Amino acid sequence: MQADIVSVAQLPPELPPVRPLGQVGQLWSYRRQFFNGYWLVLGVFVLVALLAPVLAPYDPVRSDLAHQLLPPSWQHWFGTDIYGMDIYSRILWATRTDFTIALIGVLIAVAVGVPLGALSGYLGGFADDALSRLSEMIQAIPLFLFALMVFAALGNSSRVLVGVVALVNAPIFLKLTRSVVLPLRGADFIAAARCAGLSPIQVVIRHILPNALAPVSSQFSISCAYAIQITAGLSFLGFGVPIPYPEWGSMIQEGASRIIYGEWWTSVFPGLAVLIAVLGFGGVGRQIHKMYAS
Amino acid sequence: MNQLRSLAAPAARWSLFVARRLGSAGIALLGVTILVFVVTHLLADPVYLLIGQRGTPAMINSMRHSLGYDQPLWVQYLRYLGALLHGDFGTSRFTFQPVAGEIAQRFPATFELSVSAMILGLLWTVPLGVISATRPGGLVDRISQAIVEFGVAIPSFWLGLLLVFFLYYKLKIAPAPIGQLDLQIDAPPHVTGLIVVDSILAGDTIALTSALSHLLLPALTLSLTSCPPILQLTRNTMIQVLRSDFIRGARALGLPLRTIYWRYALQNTLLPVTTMTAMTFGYLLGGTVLVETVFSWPGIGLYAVQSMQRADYDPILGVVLLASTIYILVYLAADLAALFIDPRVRDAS
Repeated sequence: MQADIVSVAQLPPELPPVRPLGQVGQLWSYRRQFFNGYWLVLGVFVLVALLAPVLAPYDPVRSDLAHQLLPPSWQHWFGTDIYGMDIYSRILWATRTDFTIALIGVLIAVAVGVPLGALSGYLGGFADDALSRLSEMIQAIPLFLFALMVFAALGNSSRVLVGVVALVNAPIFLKLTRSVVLPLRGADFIAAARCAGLSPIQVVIRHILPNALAPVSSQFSISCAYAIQITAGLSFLGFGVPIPYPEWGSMIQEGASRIIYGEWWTSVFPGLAVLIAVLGFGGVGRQIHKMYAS
Repeated sequence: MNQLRSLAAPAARWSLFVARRLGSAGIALLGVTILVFVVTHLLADPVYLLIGQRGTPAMINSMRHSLGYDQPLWVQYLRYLGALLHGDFGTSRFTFQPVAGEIAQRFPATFELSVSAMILGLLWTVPLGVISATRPGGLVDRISQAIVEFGVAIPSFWLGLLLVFFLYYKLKIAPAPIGQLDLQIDAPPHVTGLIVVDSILAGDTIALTSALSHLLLPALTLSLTSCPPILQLTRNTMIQVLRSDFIRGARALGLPLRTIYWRYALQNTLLPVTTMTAMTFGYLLGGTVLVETVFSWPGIGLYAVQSMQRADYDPILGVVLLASTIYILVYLAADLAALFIDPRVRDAS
C-alpha cells in the first residue's frame, strides 16, 4: 500500500512557467542558441535579393561590346564578362534567381516529403515499404545524371530545374519525417489521442508532426544549401536558367573558358557567391540541429 | 549438440541476411529500370526522344507503330528490360554506334580518375581525422572542421577552375585542362584502357608523366570535395572508440599513445569508414559530371553531358543505368564486407 503513495520528493519541484505565446515564446527564450553569424550572412543575401534593382549599378543583361572582359576596377567592381556585362550587378540579380529556385524547390520537397513520410511512418505496411523503396531508387541514381535524364525527357527550362531540386530533396524529407514518426507510433500520448477518437490524419497533424518541426527546419536549411549547389551546377552545364539571365552557375560557365588565359574574375566572383550562400545555409542548419539535439 | 546449434544458428541468420540484402539490391536495380522507363516512356514521348524535333506527324505515327510504342505499357517495359539484359542500351543518334560499346570505351577514364581521387582522399582524410580525434577542440581539430565545412560547401567545378587558374596559369605546375594526355603525346597501346597502367606496361615514361600530371588537378578537386565526409566520420567514430573501456585499459597498461591511436583505436574506427569510402567511390564511379566537364576528362560523365548537348538521349539513359547499378552493387559489397569483417555486425543482423 505504501508504494502507491507518491512522496513529495518525487513530484517535479515546480511546474514549468506558462508561456503566453506558447511555442513562439519558447523559441524566444532560445534565441541565443538559435542565432549565429550565419543568419547574418543569409540576411544579407535576402536583402540583396530584395534590393537588387536599387543596389545594382548597371543593367544586369545589357551587353556593352566596348567594355568586354575588363578586370575589376572602380567602374566595374567585379569586372565585366565576355559580353561586357557588369559582373557585380549580375551577381546581385542572380541572388534572386538562385534563392528563388532553391526556396521553391525545397518548399515543394517539404510539402511532398513531410506528409508522405509521416503517413508512411505512422501507417507502416505496404505504403511504407513502397515509399522507402522509391526514395532509395531516386537516391541510387547519381544526382546530376538523374537531372540530365529529367531534362532530356521534359525539356530544358527553369521550371524543370525547380522540379529536379524538389525531386532530389523530397526523399530526404520523407526519410527524416519517417524516422521521427516511427518511434512515436507506440507512444502513450498517441494511444490517448486515438482513444479520444481522432482519425489517423488528425493524430498525425496535431500530435506527431509538431515533433518533426525542429529536424525538418534544420534539414530545410541544409537542403537549401544543397539546392543552391544543384542549381549552380546544372546551370553550369547549361541546364535550367537560360543565358543571359543572371544566375551564378551560368556566370561561372561563361568565364570557365577564359580561366586558362588568366581572366579569372568572370568565374571567381559568382563562385564566391555560391560558396558563401551555401556556407550560410549550412551553418544555420547545423545551428538548429545543435539546438534541438542538446 | 548445443554448441553445434549455437554455431549453426548464426550461420543460418547470416545467410538469411545475405539473401535479403541480395534481394533488396535486386529490387533496387529493377526499380531503377522502372524509374528510367517511366521517365522516358510516360513523362516523355520515346519516339520524340528518338527522332527529335524534325519529325512530321505521319513519320512519328509510323515509327510509333514499327517500334512497338503503341503496345500496352507492360509489354513495352518487358521488351525494354529484355533488351537491357541482352546488353542493348540503344544506339547513339550522333555516332550511330551502340551505346554499350561507347560507354565501355569511356569508362576506364572515369575509373582511373575515381581511383586516383579516392587514393588521394584517403591519404589526407583518415590521418587528419585520427589526429583531430586525439584532441577534440584542439588546433588541428578546428582546422579540419573548417576544411570539412568548406569542402562540402565549395562547388566542385569552381574549385577545379580555381586550381586551373593557380596551378596552370599562375604557377605553371599543372597542365592545361584538356583531358588525359598532352596533345603532342601518343597514347600508349590499348591494353587495360587505363592510361597510367597502359603506359607503365608499355614502359612509356613520357606518356606516364603526362598522364599523371593530367590526373593531378581533377583528382585533387574530387578528393577535396568528395572526401571531407570521410574525415568527419573518421573523427567522430574515433572519438567514440577512444572513450571505450579497452582503450582505457590499454592506457592503464601503459601502452604508448602511438600504438593505442594508430593501431587499436584506428582498427576499430575503420569499419564505418570503409563503408563510407565504398559509397563515395561508388558515387565517383557513376561519372563525376561537373569535374569531368571542367577538365574535358573523356569519361562517362562528360559523355552524358555531350550527348545531352546533341539531343542524343540513349547514351544518357545508358550512363544513368550503369551509374546506379555500380552504386547499388558497391553499396551491397560494402554491407556484405562489413558482415564478414566485423563480428558485431554479424551478431546484430
